[in-house]
Amino acid sequence: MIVRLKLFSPLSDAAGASELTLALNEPATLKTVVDTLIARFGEGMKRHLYDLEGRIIPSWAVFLNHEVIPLNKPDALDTEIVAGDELSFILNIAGG
Amino acid sequence: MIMARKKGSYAGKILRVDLSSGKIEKQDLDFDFAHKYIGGRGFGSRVLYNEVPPEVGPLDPENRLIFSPGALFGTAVPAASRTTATAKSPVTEMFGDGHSSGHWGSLLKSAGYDQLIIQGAAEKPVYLWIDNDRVEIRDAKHLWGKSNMETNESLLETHGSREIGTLSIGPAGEKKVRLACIFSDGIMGTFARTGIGAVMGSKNLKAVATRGTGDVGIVDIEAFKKAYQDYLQVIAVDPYVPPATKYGTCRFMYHRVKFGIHGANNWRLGDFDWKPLDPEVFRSDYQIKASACPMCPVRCRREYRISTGKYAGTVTKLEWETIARCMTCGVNDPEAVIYFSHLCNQYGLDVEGVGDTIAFAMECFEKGLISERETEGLRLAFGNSDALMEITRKIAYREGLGDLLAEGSLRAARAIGKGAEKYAMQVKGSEMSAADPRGMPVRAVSYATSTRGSDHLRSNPYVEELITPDEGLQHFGSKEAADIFQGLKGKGKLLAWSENFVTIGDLLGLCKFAYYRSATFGYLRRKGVELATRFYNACNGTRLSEEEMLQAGERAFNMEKAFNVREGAGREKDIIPERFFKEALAGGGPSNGAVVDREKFDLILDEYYGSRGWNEKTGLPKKETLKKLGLADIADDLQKRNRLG
Repeated sequence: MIVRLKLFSPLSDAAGASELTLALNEPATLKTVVDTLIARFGEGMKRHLYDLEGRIIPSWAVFLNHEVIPLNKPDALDTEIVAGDELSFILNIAGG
Repeated sequence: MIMARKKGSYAGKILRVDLSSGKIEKQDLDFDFAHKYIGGRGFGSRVLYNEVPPEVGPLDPENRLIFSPGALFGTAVPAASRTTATAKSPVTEMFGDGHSSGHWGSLLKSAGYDQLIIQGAAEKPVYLWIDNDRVEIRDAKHLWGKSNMETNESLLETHGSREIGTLSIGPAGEKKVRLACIFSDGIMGTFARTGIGAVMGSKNLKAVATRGTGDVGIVDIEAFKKAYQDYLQVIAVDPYVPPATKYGTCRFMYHRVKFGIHGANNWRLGDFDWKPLDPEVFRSDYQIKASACPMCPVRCRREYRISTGKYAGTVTKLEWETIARCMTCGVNDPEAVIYFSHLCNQYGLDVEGVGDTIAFAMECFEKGLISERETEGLRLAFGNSDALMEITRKIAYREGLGDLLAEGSLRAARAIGKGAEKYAMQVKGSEMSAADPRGMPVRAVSYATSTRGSDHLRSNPYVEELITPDEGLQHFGSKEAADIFQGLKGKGKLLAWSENFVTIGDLLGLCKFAYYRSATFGYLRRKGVELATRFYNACNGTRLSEEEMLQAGERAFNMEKAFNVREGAGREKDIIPERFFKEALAGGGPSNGAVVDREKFDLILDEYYGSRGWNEKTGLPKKETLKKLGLADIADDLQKRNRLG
């Protein structure tokens, strides 16, 4: 199945694009998407998604279509992904 | 080469200038005082509490204007480049301060001073010339009326050197506009909030020029080098850093878009036509320079130029808050945003205070509370960028309606009457900052508890975004602390901790973006507590623990709170505008329909007060809390005034 991704910096820099499509095997979860991104773009992508201890960076927020899934939410990576989904990855740090 | 130096990061003297009498005093720095209050905000808040009692008004000569470079400013510590300016605020009539980057603070220390305290008021415009030991009060007639850039250039020329640092006010400060700020080194840095520029103007002090040729330094170079390497390692892997380096602070747009929390049109619309203000637009079409504050490896400063059109030739620096406040005024033309920033920089105005005050006036215009008679024919409508520029000029020079708006939104609303106060979006009299808090209750509370009025920089409620539920439980007593939208328990504790935590940066002079924002809680604590403490100890040969450093942050926050409490503020002042509770965020977008739940707000505030050791009902500090922090004298003072919790 095909899903569409919108990436914000620094993931967009690691991918060399801010929008792309991924082909995934079904069934798929958010973890599948993350793993596929890392498989495709390598260490440059991984270091922005996992910390030095190998834990997912919790401040990424993934917008699945219009629903926000903060990755600091338990089981966020188990979220089911279906064909045609659009996912946006944005670093959820308001800062300012 | 970094040289070891016994005295460490402190210069060793306090400089006091009385502009009424012309008396100039130099006192030795008490090192017990230094290690207790650390520097920056800690030094400033302690002196303000000691020397400015409630009977002194913000624009009275006896108000103090206190400049305190952070304890590590002037050393080679990365991103240690911040100075605090402290005074009783003309905006809130409570504790006030602003924090700026720039070279001036390090030059003050190189000249031999850890703090500059200015009191009294000169009869005529003056500027202060500090040339190491030599300190002079000089005539500033030739500078009066000049912009910040012009003043800086003139002082550089007068003193024959590019190696001096300057502070200055623009025309707005001269006119005692309550939204005026102080600039450092032209427009390199801004002491933006709380009307601190009006205090400088009330003293007839146009500028401070400083040359310093001494040094401050590092006692334990090996420990310093190790901390430096560790710091660079953390920022090399922290995903927070690349967007900062790529876009500067304009990057925050994407976050606001995704959550739909713009607060456009005077904090009513969550969604807004933001596309013309995409960070990529600023980067590709207008950016001419990316640079860094002194010693900073992050490099998020940006300069922009407009080449064509009615604002052609404009070159200025711009930060995210200018974009945000233009949206508050309904403006989405990037060139108008850059030009608005330019005007505020030249006049010496706080973009947040002015932007929100103009948005307030626009809503009054929309509702018929202000007519074209008051605006002298200006159509003060949301989205009218020409009106935005013209009313900004009028505010800076206190012309026509600008004279009223120069008082800030709350005072203007009270003068207008007819229910206008509900359109003044402010906390403690200080206009809103950052993003709309509807739907995110702890942010709403953080705006309320800030000791200088609405402020996201006083706390770091964003910690909730980067902790895991387990970290929430471990550090703040509940897994709910990690739930941005629904969490309740642990949020008050998280907020109190965050306030203490970011205060450390203001004591040491560390940039919040370089130390107090991160993508993980581990990186955040590593930089903001562990490495900050190691840097301080390496520089000064001290053995402060991380807990003691956090307590120093807590101490400074409590001094500011005590100052406000002595001025009469209690729980009733820790509140946000009614609009956030009662009016749903409109305009579409992900947060459409959200309000701040009043019950949740109060519950978080209760937990926050409890966590701070303050009375939950009154919001006043308890005696034992202040004593525990080494502030027994302040506890005694408040007790005499019946102001303890």
